[in-house]
Amino acid sequence: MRRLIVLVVVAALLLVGVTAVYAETKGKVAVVISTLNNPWFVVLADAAKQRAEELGYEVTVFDSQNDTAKESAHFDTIIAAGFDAILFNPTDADGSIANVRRAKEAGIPVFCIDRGINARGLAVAQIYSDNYYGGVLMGEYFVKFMKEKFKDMKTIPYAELLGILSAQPTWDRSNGFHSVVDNYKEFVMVAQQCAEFDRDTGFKVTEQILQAHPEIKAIWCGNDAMALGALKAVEAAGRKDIYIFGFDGAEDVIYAIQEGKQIVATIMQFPKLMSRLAAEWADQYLRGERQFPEIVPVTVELVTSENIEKYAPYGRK
Amino acid sequence: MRMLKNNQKVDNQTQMASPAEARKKAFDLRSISRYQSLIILGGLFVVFATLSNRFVTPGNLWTILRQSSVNLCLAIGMTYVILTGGIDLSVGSILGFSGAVAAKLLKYGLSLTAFGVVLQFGVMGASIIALIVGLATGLLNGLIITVFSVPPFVATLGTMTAVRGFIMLWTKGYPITKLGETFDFIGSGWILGVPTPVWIAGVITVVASVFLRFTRFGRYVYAVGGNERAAVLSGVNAKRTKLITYMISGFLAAVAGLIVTARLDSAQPNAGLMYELDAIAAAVIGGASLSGGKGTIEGTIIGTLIIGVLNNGLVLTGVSPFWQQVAKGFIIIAAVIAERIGKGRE
Amino acid sequence: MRKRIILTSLVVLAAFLIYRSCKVVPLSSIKASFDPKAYAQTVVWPKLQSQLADLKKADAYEVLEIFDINPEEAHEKFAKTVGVSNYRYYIVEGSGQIVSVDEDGILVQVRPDSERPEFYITSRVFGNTIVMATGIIKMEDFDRIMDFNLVSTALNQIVRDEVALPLISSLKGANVQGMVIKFLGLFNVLKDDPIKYPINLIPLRLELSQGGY
Repeated sequence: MRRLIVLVVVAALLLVGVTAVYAETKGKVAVVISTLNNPWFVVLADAAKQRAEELGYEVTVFDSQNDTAKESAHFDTIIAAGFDAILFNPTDADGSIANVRRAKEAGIPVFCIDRGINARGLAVAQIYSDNYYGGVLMGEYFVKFMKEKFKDMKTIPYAELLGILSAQPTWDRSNGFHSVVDNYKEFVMVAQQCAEFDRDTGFKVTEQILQAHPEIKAIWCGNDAMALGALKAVEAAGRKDIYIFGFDGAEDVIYAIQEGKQIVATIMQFPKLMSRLAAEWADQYLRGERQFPEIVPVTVELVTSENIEKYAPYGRK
Repeated sequence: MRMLKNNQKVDNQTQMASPAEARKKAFDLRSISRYQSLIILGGLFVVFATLSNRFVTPGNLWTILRQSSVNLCLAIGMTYVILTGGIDLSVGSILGFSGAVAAKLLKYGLSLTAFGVVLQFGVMGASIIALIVGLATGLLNGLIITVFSVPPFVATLGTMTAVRGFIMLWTKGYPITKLGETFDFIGSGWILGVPTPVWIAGVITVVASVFLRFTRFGRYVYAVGGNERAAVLSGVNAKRTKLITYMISGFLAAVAGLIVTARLDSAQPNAGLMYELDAIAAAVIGGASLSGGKGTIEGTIIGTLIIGVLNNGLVLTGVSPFWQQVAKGFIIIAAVIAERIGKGRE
Repeated sequence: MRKRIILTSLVVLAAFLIYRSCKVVPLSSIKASFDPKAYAQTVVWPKLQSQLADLKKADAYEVLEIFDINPEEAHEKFAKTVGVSNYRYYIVEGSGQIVSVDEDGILVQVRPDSERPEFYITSRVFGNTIVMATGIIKMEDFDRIMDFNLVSTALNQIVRDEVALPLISSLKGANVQGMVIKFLGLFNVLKDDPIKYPINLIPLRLELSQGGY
């Protein structure tokens, strides 16, 4: 009896496997995302997958878990499995270069989404989110908003939560922000900590900062996940006088701004747009098109309570 | 499928009637149980080969071997440690740290501002120093465990955390990249049609296996793990034996660190994170017992390959990344249960 | 005993190999890495200055008139888009009457009949507007995207120090009513947004002209 069950199960598996192999597709596209632990990136991955599937491709999503070694292993597998194109969200602008180079040498076109690599001539195109400009926009609004709210204060102390230190966006956003805010003597950054782009870590770090520097009036967070964690900590401490600034345009923050919570602004990135574009360009490439601009900056926009009606999570309404 | 195979075996066991029959069945099972992990490996191989026509290609098979080389180095070191009844949780951090040491020395050298000079290192120098760092950390682990009698779990947990912190200090949180073609050869090169890391892991496996099987030290390792008191009473220096196993583990973790860093052409601050878990899994699936005294290098090789085939096959067959974690966990548990059941009949 | 010999020879071998693989280099000979500020000052800014005449610019008056009727039309006729973006970059040339001067900029009215001053010539320049609008440097020219951003920031600082601030400080305390200023500048707007006045104008060239209209 048991043997019969085993036979049936094996036969079923074989059937499934065989049909999977023979399904009609135009080709296989790999979507490699730096991490699926952050809803923003899940949106990035899903949009790419959806568009590529709409265009007739079989899509596999790979999660690099913010680990360049895992990313490298994925590339090994992708190259060995003979994928036709890679839609790639690099974990590290320098560390991921070797992976793209290997893919190129194996004849697989790579399209970078949201983040770029510090090399030219390797990826077919880099659809790159202009994080620096986002930081600048946020910095400008920060100055305007805080100066208005606290116009009687001679110095306005604030804290900064940085993202993953080895990721390019972390520094682009921070540098953009500081390129504006550091020009205004009233603003003093009293704390700068790394919260790994993670909500939980953002919460913990903010709690600590509130203990060490209760005088802060604002927290600038490199992404929305950290901003939400900071919001929770600030609300838990009952501090109604602290304002939080995020980056990403993620769902919960959009709702928070709509509801008038203490998160006052974020930067809208356009993950769906970037993913769709990458998928379409991959399709064009595979159909013979070779002319692509190497770097395509996708500019980001400032979202505040004043213009919130124009925006929905992850894009415009 | 795994569970069904195991159930089949259990089925056979419960059908024992007379003592003669029982002896015959037990004998069958023992020989099967010795090849337990091999059967599982073979089974997985067949399943994935059927489900994906890309699995059995030379490119993919070399990929599996190359990716397993890192874990194999860690797992062999872990086997030595587990055989003496200990455990080394710090191998992941040592991997990361030695890689970072090699990378920084290679790229920036050592700045001696007091003398107004920079000490620049070539691949050989940087690599040897990285290996020494691994050896030294292993020595530290060993000393904490033998001299201060701190339980291995706690001691290596401490070093794991501290060393990870050292990596952060050393790299200031940034990856160190662009290390040069010569160095990268360690991770990405091919010699006579075989990837370099596979050569490295292969040589280490042979040396480790011979060392364990045919030297006095090897016997001491088993003795200390099997029954430490008895071993000490028969004149074995248990403390020194254990110390050396931790040094071996640290050294091999450094080797793995060099391979990873060379392959990625960058030293990442989070390199090696959680790698100790795969190393322990490989050793345990391969038959090593966490209480010491049982296990072989050959078994560890099979265990490493099982994990390597799993990682590769699940991705190749397009299983969602979320299900991959679930599947891997269950299969590891199943493999160990199978091991237990088989061993339990001896 | 044998073990000691083996161990010692291993140590000696290791030390020897390290020594062979090691070089002592004086600190001074280490090459300096790319300096964005210097690059912006010595290469990019002079290049931009020399190309001012060739830039594709629109007439400020004309643009403003079309803004009143249909901004979308103006975007299509005169503006530049870079990459995938809802921003539209303008290079405009024109002249207007100075309404007021403060420490950060000059408020200018171009059309005598408009309700309020249309441009605020600002000394606080941020972002990548200059490089995006003029295309004087491109992201592809740099290996590191960060370097591109840093050069852009340096350019912002140069515009502030060499174009905007000198004029602002020369106008301090003076009676500016009736003064006419000629400008060549940049600005960007979001495609779908209604135009908000005064528009922040980044000056590339400023000149006071005598007399009225």
